[in-house]
Amino acid sequence: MKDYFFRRIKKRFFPYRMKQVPGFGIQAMIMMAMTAITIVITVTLGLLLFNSYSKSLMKLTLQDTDSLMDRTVDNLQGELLDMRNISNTVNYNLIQALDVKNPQLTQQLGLLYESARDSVVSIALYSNTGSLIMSEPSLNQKEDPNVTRQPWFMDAASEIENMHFSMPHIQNLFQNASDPYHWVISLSRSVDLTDGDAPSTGVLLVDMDYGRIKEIMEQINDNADGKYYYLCNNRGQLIYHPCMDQIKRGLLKENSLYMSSKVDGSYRDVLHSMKRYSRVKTISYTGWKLVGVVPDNVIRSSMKRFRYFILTAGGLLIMMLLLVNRMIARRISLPILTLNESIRAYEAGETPNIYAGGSAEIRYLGRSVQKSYEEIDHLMKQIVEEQNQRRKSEMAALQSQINPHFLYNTLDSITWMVEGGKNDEAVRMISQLARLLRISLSKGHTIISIDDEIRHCESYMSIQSIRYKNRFRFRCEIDREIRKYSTVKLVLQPLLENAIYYGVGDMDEDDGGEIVVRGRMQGDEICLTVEDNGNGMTGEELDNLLSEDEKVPKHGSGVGVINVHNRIRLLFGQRYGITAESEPDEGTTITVHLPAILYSEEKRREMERQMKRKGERL
Amino acid sequence: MEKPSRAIFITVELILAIFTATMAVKISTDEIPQRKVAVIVEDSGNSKWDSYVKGLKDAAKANNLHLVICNTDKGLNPEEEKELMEEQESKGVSGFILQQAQGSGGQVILDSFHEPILLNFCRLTDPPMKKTYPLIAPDNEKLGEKLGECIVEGYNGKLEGRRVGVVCAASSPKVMMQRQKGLQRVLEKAGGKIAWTLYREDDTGISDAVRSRSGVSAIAVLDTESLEEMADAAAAHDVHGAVVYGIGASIKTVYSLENESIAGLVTADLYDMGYRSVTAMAQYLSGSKKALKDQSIEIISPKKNELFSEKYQTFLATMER
Repeated sequence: MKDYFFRRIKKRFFPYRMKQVPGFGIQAMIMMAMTAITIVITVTLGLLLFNSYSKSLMKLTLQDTDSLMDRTVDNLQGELLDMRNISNTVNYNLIQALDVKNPQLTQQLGLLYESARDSVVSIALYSNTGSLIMSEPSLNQKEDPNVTRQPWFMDAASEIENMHFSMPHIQNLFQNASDPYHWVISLSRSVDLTDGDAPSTGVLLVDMDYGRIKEIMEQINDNADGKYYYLCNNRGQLIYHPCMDQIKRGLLKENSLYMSSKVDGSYRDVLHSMKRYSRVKTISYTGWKLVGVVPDNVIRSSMKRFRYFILTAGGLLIMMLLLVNRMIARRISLPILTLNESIRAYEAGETPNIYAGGSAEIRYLGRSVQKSYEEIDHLMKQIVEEQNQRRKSEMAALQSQINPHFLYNTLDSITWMVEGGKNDEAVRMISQLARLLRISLSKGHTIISIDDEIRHCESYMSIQSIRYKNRFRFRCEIDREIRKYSTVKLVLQPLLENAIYYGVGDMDEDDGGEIVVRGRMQGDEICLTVEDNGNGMTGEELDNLLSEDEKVPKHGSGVGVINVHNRIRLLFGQRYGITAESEPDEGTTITVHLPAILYSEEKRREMERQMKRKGERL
Repeated sequence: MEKPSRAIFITVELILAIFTATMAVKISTDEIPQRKVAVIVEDSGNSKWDSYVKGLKDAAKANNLHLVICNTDKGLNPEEEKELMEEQESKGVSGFILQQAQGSGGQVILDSFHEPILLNFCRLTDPPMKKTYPLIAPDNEKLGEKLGECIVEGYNGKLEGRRVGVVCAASSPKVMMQRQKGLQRVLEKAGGKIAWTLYREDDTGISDAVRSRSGVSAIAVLDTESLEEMADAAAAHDVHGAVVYGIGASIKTVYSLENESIAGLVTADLYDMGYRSVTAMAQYLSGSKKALKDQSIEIISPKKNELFSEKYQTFLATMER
């Protein structure tokens, strides 16, 4: 029975504990949260690192390109400056100083050519009609090279104040079977000639070996690792390009025209659907543009390797962090899980204690849960006890209502009265018994008016007076006003029974035994007292009178008093019930404390419903 | 909850480990390996291939191919060609670009290789046959025709009754025959007539044989080396007054045109042939199976006064070493 009540109460208060709670466990949730944070942080760091690296790489690549181009520009400018210096030397130191027929001019020109032959293919002086005046080295001129129609001559003749660098071309001036087609860049200028007394103009031509330019450009294009560099003039015509032949044949294209229009700097352009960075630098003296091209795929190729590195590092980092996360999650969640398991075990009745280990918070939680459970247990026991007590009380009340021994004695007394011819007394006793039974039954009601309770007492005491042959007196001093208030039925009768049995029942008529029932209003409560001047109780008996411990010695069984006390408290609360005062050989006074509730049918029903609900809940 | 959670954890860690290992391997194996293509032409060091080799190399660079130009001498025969191919095959080449060697059994030899083969210059066995190899080359008959037109033009179209001598290389009979066929068709149409045909052996030359022949107005030379020799003979006035025209692809032949040792030159753009060949092979190796197909190379006939124009300067630039 007790287990049944435990189960019912637990089920009512902790229904979710009986089954598995759905969803993720705390460890999984901690793990997921930490994993999400780990991934977000790792990915963010990876992206930032990648972005930073790509920018640095781009910057570094462009810086490399820039510094390489600076050196190349210096080299190219050096070569071109050498050509200009040769041209200037020939012009100012030889042609303007010497007559064209002066053999010294040819001799000096030969010496100059010899000193510069590594980079100079030929130096030639032409009249303004295109006739060859002199040249170094001395080679036979082709039959009809048509000099005046060649671009370098026309440039010099049209803009006499400037020096002109031509595009690379095959020299078409001299016969040379062993090396017939020499690629040169021509530096031409108009010069003033002294031919005897007749001044005239001519064109000085210094043909620079294109191989020198090509060599410089090839040097930076070798091992350029996807980047490349080209040279064009200010009209976008290519002077050197690593894919010169393909471009001239239309197999490839180049944005040289676009780049030739740009001032020095970096530009984004697109060629063959390929985005790229193009760096432009201008060569002094010529207006040529050195262009360095860094296609995006070159940078992407470097980035690709770094991307794999980032992914590898990121993967390793996530692996390690997941491992650490799991360890931390386990460490954090283990006490909680242990607490959870111990609660489950406690609920299942497997262990008497709740786990209280781990961190201070978990320990506190464990102890709190333990305490709560103990209190719940205590309360449940109390409730069960109260329920049992209530049932006992009801049983006792029922027994009080129909006390067979009392009934037998009463009826036996009536029989003797009738046989003894005391018919009036017999009739009066029967009437009192009838009234006693009627009030005891009270149509099954638990709550009755104080008036009925007093009348029930009077009937009871009337019968007992006859039975005890008036060896004691009985009187009621009840304030009239309290008779219309409510009480639990049959609270006085057990007290009177006790007063007779243990108080005045054994006294002689001369001893003046007396039982007085008093009733009065005291504040907001009603006090009913049963007072006798019988044997009284010792202090110990008085202390144990209301104890539920059955082992302690009591005045009689004590059951009747406790039943009355419990029934009152059950219905009206803990502040009500019974108090007792007694002195040995002086008598006993038992006081019943009740709330002042006016009796009516409606109140009665309400109080009885309340009692019923309490009984069901318990 | 513990067991499934542990299983998920181990699975995730395993996936991450595999992913990380894959990425780590990729760091070291990111480089795309260059495919190798072997090129076999007779007398590979000859300057007549300069333009062709430049075309090959430029295309190989543009297509990220590793080019292996096999070292060969004159008179390459099918057996030697096979040995070279086997050697290159053992070195892991992905394809061959060949000048098919003269001699019997050439077709059978090529059939024994699994790598793709692209022919240059000529195909010695005409279809229909069991297996046809794609050819990228100038049309030899058209070369002959162009040379014929050059001769006819040199005589202002008045070739009636004129006799023309023909000099060609003995080492390439098939090619020479095709060129001569085209030449003969044009000459006969213009009223000319081929008086004789001489075959030049590499070791003996042809000057003596030509010197012993006379009575021709013009000599049509069908290959580069013969043309260089005949240009020298013409410069030395050793051709009985005949005017030399020829098919050639070297700087010397161009220079001979410029100094009028020869009156007309027909040539093919060998740079273009080399470039196209490697490009087609690269495309084929990249998965474009239709890339290897017959292609014809442009034929040009420069005039002396045009030699220094931009067009021919580009052409000359590729001829130079």
